[in-house]
Amino acid sequence: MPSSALVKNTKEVMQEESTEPITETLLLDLPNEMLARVFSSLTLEDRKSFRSVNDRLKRIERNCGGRHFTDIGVEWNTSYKIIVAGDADMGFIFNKNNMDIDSMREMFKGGYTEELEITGDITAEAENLLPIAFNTLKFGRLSINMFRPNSGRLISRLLDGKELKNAAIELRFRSGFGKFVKEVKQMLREIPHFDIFRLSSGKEQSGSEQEELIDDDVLLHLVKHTTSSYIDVEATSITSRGLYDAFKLFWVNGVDKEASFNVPRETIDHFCNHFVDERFTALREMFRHKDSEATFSWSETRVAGEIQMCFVFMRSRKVKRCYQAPLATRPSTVKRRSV
Amino acid sequence: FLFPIKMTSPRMIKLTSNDDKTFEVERDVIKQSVTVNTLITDLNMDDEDVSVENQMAIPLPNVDAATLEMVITWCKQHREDPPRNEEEEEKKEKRTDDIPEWDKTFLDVEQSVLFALILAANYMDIKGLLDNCCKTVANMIKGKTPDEIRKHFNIKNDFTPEEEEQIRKENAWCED
Repeated sequence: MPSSALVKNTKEVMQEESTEPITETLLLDLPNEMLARVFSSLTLEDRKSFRSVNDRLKRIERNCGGRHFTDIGVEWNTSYKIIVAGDADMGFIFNKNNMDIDSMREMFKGGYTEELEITGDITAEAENLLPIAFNTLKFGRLSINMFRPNSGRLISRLLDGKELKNAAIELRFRSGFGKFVKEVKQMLREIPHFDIFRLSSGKEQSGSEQEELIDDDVLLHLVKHTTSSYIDVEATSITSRGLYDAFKLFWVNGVDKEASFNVPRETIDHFCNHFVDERFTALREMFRHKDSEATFSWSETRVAGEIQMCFVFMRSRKVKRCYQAPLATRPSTVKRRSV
Repeated sequence: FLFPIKMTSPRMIKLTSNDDKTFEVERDVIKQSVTVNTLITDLNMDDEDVSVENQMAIPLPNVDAATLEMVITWCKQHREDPPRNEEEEEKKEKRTDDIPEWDKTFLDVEQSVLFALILAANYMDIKGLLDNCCKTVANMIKGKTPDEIRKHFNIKNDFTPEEEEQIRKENAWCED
């Protein structure tokens, strides 16, 4: 049966068979949840018009999700949870202590925030509840303090199933994560493809904890899965082999990328040796002749009396520079080489 | 030996509207209503030994006959639709240009009929119908000024002049 005939029949049925007096249902007879659904299908411009129609619509719009935030900050602790959110459209700052997860979910439903920052003590409770609260929230930058493996799992769950273009992840390691280096490394190896990744650690971390955290595997994963990686960790255990493999990823794949990270001094020495080694002739020729826009450079820095080398890869000037180079990459430059 | 082949006719379910009209609908069609589906399961109505004549009708006190008939028509049209994954649907970007052509024609009705359908779809928990109805309303709002929306939906402006001024400021802030 053609659709028009079917609709006609339905209309006829309604007109001919209904003997009951028809009570007209109006738009404002719909419950708030239904009107919120209508709002969620509108563009910002149309939302502005619709909420300006009537006081009830204005109040519904405030709670129906799809909002645009400049930033959302969550401070999670066992005794209190503070949510601060700046609404980009309405120009107000929302600040609430101990907001329940269902209300958070409603408020941030279908929304977008330029930055989502989660600080405090990421407990198992936070790991379970925050992904529910931010289930449908999209973000431009995710910034999380790392204390224990919960933080890593939280990141994985927050990213799960989301298509985030041009988004950045920033992880800050704080004291106490050292016991969980193995789990954190695993999380770093599972970071999905992202535009910008930045990792930093507090001064309170011991060199050995940091070294253990960033090794060849982690470096390769990050370089492979991000456009820009800034590993602002003072000490790493990256070997010349790892550096060489990362270097190949830049040059062989021909994708615009950049990365900066510290390596032990002997890594640089061995890496340089690769270039005089006959086995690496092809690689040497490749960056000498074909890739004038690609550069790599290193500079020397002292960390707790030890000499570390900060290594920077960059291919193409088109790569966005959203962050300043990490502090560790701006030391008193003793030696700088570029190719 | 030749055994007679038992012809299995589709399982039927009876629904009664709030104006006491009873509709028989295939079990497979009405499964799209989470509310009805739950009732069928809870009341053990899937028992094949009970004929449709002896079967209790499911009352739908919030839906009138005309609206229920439309709901059933929609469910028949969408009986082959794959089951919705609500979690995925929530994550999807909301669009209003993806209403199927059949639904566009079907939902091209008087406002009051459309709103009655929204209420029925909400009560009967039929997410696909509810979504397309709400998108149809959203399409009626698109591109209109607040005054045009008031006129279109017969809504009274209940803002005080001060509140209207405040809204103007908020909207101007958004444009910045």
